[in-house]
Amino acid sequence: MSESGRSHFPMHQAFAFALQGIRLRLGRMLLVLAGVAVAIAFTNVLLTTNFLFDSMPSTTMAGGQGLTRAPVFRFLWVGVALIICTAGTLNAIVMSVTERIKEIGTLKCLGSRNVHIVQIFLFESVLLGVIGGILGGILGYGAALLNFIATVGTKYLTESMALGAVGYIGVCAGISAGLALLASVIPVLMAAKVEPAAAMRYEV
Amino acid sequence: MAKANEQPVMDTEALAVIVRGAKKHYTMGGETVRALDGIDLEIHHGEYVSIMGPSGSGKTTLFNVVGGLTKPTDGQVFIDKTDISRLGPNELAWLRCRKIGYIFQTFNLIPIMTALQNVTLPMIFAGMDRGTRETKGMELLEMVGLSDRAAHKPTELSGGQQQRVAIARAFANDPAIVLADEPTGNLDLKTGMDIIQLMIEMNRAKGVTIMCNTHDLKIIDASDRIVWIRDGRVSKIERKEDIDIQVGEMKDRNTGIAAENL
Repeated sequence: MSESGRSHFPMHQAFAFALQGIRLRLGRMLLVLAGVAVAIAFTNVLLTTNFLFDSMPSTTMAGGQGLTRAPVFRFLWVGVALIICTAGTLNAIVMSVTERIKEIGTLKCLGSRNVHIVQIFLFESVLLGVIGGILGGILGYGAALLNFIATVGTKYLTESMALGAVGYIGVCAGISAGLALLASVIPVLMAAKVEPAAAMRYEV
Repeated sequence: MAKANEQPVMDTEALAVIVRGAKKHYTMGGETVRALDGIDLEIHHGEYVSIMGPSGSGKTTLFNVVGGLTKPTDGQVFIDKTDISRLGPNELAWLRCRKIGYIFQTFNLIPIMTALQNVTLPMIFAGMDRGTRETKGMELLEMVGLSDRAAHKPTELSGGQQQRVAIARAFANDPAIVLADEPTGNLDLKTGMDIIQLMIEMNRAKGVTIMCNTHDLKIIDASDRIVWIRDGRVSKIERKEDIDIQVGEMKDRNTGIAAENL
């Protein structure tokens, strides 16, 4: 092996560390996941309802059936829910970092670079975000569809509408992953700044 | 094994570690704590050096500074002729990976990994392929007498066994120096003796330099040299030959070194 070089840490190893981090704190992580899923479900109910409304043959007909486009203020409420769930994710990852400070210190002693540590916690956070986003997306999709059937009935619900709305689950996963990424900025910087000498003396 | 003890004049080729005027000052509550106050130290390749001194004398700070775990406020530290105080974070990570092995009082194994995975982790960082890693990892576990525990997690191992795994891990990338910080501090007398014995064996078998912080007098026997630290300075350096007699004295009554040490 060469005298000078850079230490390696394959992605799949970082991913395994992230998975273990979630598994060890499963109870708490499930709560965070539930929070994310609910907030995203609300988001998707609005997105999907609007999509279905706009796909109706005529909007006046939809209005006559009692279906309305979601007003802007509802999106503001959903925005608040998303902020809260992001704060929840932030909290979970901060806890995960502080609980694993010794582990981070050990990894740094063994030769890991900051970028490797950052990877672990980014994976952890984005994994939470994507899973929560998909779950919430499906939940919201189902709720919006049920609401549509309850108000308009199945008569105007075409297959292409139902299928088209599925795309919003992907949008939800994207939003959720983005928010999770945002939430992990602070904890990841914390983890990268850990000085191994200090980490070894750290008591949780 | 080439011991440089015979050569009284400094030969930098034979030096694994050079510490020159290392200082580490902290500010705590408005007061400056001089954890290290100008340490000069040279350690030869293959040497087993014990660092002794009372609590708070600066042993752990010296460990951190030599191990590249914290930057000295002033002074230089060379590991294998590399001035580590000038390295950037990524170069430092590589140095820790390839040149230094660490053994801690609290073992510090990764709890989610098996003994074998813990031992092979530094080899992952070094970029070794899986097959080579596992063969070498098993060899090291064999050396520390734990090949039958390879698949066990740290929680399923006793303190002494965990420390053995940590020792195997410290030797994973054939480092230039292994640093140990109170390796027997969390172990009972008998287990502590076994661990010291193992470290001596590894030192002799692999020719790896060892610097061991301790206030465990049992280690005196094992050391080529003992460096006494007091108030962040080297107060005395003794060679093994000179110590044998003093150990005898200490065993008779707790005078001399023991009084200074404790």
